[in-house]
Amino acid sequence: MPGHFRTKLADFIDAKIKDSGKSIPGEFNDNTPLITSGLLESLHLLELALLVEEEVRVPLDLTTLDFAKEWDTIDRILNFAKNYKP
Amino acid sequence: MKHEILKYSDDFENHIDQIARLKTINWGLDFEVFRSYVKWNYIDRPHSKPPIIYFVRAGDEIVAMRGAYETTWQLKGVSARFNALCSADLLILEGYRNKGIYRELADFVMEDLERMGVQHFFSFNATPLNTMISLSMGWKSIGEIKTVTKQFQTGGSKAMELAKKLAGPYARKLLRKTGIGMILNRSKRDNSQRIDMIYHNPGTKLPPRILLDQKPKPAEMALLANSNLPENKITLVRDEMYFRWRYNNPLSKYLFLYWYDDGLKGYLVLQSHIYSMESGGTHNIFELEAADSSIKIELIDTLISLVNSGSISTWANMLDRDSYDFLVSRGCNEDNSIKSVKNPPRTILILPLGKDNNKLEFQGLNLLDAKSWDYKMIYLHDH
Repeated sequence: MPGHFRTKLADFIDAKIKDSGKSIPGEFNDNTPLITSGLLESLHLLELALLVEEEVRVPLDLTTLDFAKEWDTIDRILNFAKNYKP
Repeated sequence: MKHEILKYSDDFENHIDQIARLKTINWGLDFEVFRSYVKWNYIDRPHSKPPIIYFVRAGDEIVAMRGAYETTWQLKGVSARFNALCSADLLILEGYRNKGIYRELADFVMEDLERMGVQHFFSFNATPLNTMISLSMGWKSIGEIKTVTKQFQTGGSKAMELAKKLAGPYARKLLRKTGIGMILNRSKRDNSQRIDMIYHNPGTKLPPRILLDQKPKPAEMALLANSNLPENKITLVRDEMYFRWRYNNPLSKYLFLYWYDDGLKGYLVLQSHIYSMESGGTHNIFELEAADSSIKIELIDTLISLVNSGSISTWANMLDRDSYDFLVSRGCNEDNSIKSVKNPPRTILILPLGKDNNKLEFQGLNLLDAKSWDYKMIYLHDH
C-alpha cells in the first residue's frame, strides 16, 4: 500500500532527523536530498533499509544498491520500493 | 557540540596512546593490548609509508578517529607494483554518535585523500553496518566473499550458537553496557587454550611430512608463496619481511602446519581471535599455500583430525576446486544463505577517488572486478 508506506517513511525520516538534533528544513519535500545532504545520519540507514526491506517483502542485497542515487529522496525510495525486483 | 578534525601522519607514534585509549573505551579491553595492536598494525607494518590518522577532538577530548595504512600489491610476471591505502579503526565514542560526526569525518578524509592524489581507498574489514554506510557514501563492493565452515558439534558449541541467535545483532551494544570487557577477557583464556590444546595434544600423530609449529618460517613461507602466485590476479606483496611481521598480531593466535619434502612445499595457518565473543571457538584457515592441491588436501585433512571443538572456517574464494571439494566432503558447508539487510554479504570495498575515478585498473585488470583479485584472509588486519 504505497500511501501507507509513504506516511511510514516520512514519519521515520522526520523522527530520525529530529533525533539527531537537526531541524526539518522549511522547504522540505519528497525531493529533498536526505543522504547526500547529510540530513539523514549514516547510522540511521540501517533502520531505513530494514523499513524498505519490510515493504518490498524480499531480502535486499545491499552491495548491489547505489544508495546515494537510489535512496536520496523520499520520492526515490518510494520508486525503489515500488519497482524493486531482486 | 564544537569539535574539530585533525590529521596526523609523520608524528603518528606520538598518538598511539590516544588510539589505544579510544579502542579501550569502545571495547572495554586492556589498554596495553590495544597499544601493542596499534603499534603492530600501523607502525611495524612493512612496505608502508607512514600511516595517517584523523582525529575528531571535542574540547580536550578525542571522540572519534579514522586510521589508514598503506599496502603494496603485485601481479605475477609484472615488475610494477601499486600501493593502496586501506582504512582501519573507524571509531566514534557512544555519546558522540548520530550527531553528524561520521559524515563530517568521512567527507574530510575523502577530500584530504583526493588532495594527496590518492586514487582509491580500500576497506577489507568493514562490519555489516560500516559496509552499508560506506556504500551510501560512494564506496563500491568488489564481489561477495563466501565462507565454508565445518562445525564440531559439542554441547558447549550448541549452547554458544543458541546464545548468539538469541542475542541478535544488538548483542555487542548491550554487552558493552553490561561488561563486554569481562566477557572478551574470558574468551581470551578460552580461545588461547583451544589453540594450545591442539598444539600440545600428546595423542597427536602427524603424517610423516607434516610438522606442527607455533611460529612462522618467514623466509621459507615467502619463497613458497611467491613461487605460487596465480595468473592475472592481484595479490598482496608477501616477502620475508612481511611474514616476519604478519604473525605478531597481538589480537590473534596462530598455529602452523608445514609440509616438507626437500624443502617447504606447503603450509596451512590456523588463526583464532584471542578476544572475540562472536568467534569463540572459531578457527580460520587463514593461509593455505602449496606446490599442488594434493599437498593442500593433506594439510586440510591433518588439520581436521587435530581440531575437535568449535569450528573451522575459511573463504571459499581462496580455495582451488580440489581443496574446496575436499572440505565439503569432510563436512564443511558453504554459506549460501540469502543475503538481506540483517544478513549482509561480506565484501571488500573500494572508494574511487579523484576526477578520473571510473578508470580503476592495474595492468589492464579492472579493480572493481572480483576476478581481478586473489582473495586471501591474510589481508584482514584484525585477524
